[in-house]
Amino acid sequence: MRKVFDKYLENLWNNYSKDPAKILVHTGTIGWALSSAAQITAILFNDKISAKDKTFLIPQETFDAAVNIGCFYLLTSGIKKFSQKLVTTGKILPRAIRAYMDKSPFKDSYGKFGFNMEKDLKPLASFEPYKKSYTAFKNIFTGGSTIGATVLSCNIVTPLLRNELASFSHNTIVKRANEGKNQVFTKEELENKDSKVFQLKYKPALYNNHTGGMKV
Amino acid sequence: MSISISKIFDRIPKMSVPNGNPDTWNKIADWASRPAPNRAITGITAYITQPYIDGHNRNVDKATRDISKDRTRAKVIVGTLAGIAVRQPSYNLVEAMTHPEGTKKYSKWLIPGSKLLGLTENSIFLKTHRIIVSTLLALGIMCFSNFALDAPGTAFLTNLLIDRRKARNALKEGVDA
Repeated sequence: MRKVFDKYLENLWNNYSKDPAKILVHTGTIGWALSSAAQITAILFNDKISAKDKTFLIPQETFDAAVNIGCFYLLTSGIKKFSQKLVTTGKILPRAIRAYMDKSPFKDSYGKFGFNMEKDLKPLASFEPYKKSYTAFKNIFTGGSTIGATVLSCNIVTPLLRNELASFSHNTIVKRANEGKNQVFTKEELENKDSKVFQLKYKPALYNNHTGGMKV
Repeated sequence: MSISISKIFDRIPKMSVPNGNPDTWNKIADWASRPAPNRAITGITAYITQPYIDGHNRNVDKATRDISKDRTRAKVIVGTLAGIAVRQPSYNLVEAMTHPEGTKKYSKWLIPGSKLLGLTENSIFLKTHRIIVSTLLALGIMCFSNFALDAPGTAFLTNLLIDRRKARNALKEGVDA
């Protein structure tokens, strides 16, 4: 049993400890889907929310999960990769490291798309005193950018988009319901008790009145 | 395509930031990347932005807008508190079981045996491994807590906020009349 569990831990370490974004995206996707399912159930069974408002809140919750997942793949991971690229190419650096780079043999190539601080400076012994500062800066810059990107994507872009989509769905349903109300029927249709129109228009009222008097 | 991207990238001017203390930077980055503080940061910002966006959604009528604002507020509060309540203990539990130099019986339980040799407390891979394992553990717990805690908690708080808003509006109308 321990051997199997150890193998599982080893797989996690080998596959994700260098790039945790992959697993965090997967767990995030499952988490959003689960949370959305739970919230939709709660809206459906909430008596204080009217049927009309439910036609907005349910699509809003559904689109919240869908847009969040989409934004995470497109926006959050894109910003994260871009911020990492800014640091690893040396485009943005602390002043002391930039001063060092300006005097190094790489003064013309750093900051360019193909440059990699970690690989290209590895053989350079003179970079050793700056290594700790560089790694710490990379941690805080990419970490901060990822948090910023998450806030932008989950708390600004997603609510704006999900509201647009949910409003469209809600207004379509409301419009269809109103169209039904304003429908004009012929006299024959209204008077013929066997017609579908008569059944739809009067039966609920008759049924309600009847059952109202049958309370046990 | 990649040529044009690299050309655009190369045109961005080089930037520099003030020198800071690497230890402080590492501490802040470590703290912020932990699941519970991360959830707290997104939760606080969500409470500021999301009800505001819902309250300004001109595509639906005022009544729907108000309900949507109340529900978002309730969802953010309950979701953030439940998220922290699940994530923090998960992280603490995983951390207690991932100490390569620990002396307790369970100190190394969640570290793969093949990685133990030469592993130190400061290893960046170990820190990431802790986040991954604790996130998976939290996800497992959240399969239940989403239905047992988040959803009923959100419904309860939504109804409370709706009642409070209605009472406030009734009071306001009474004063105006």
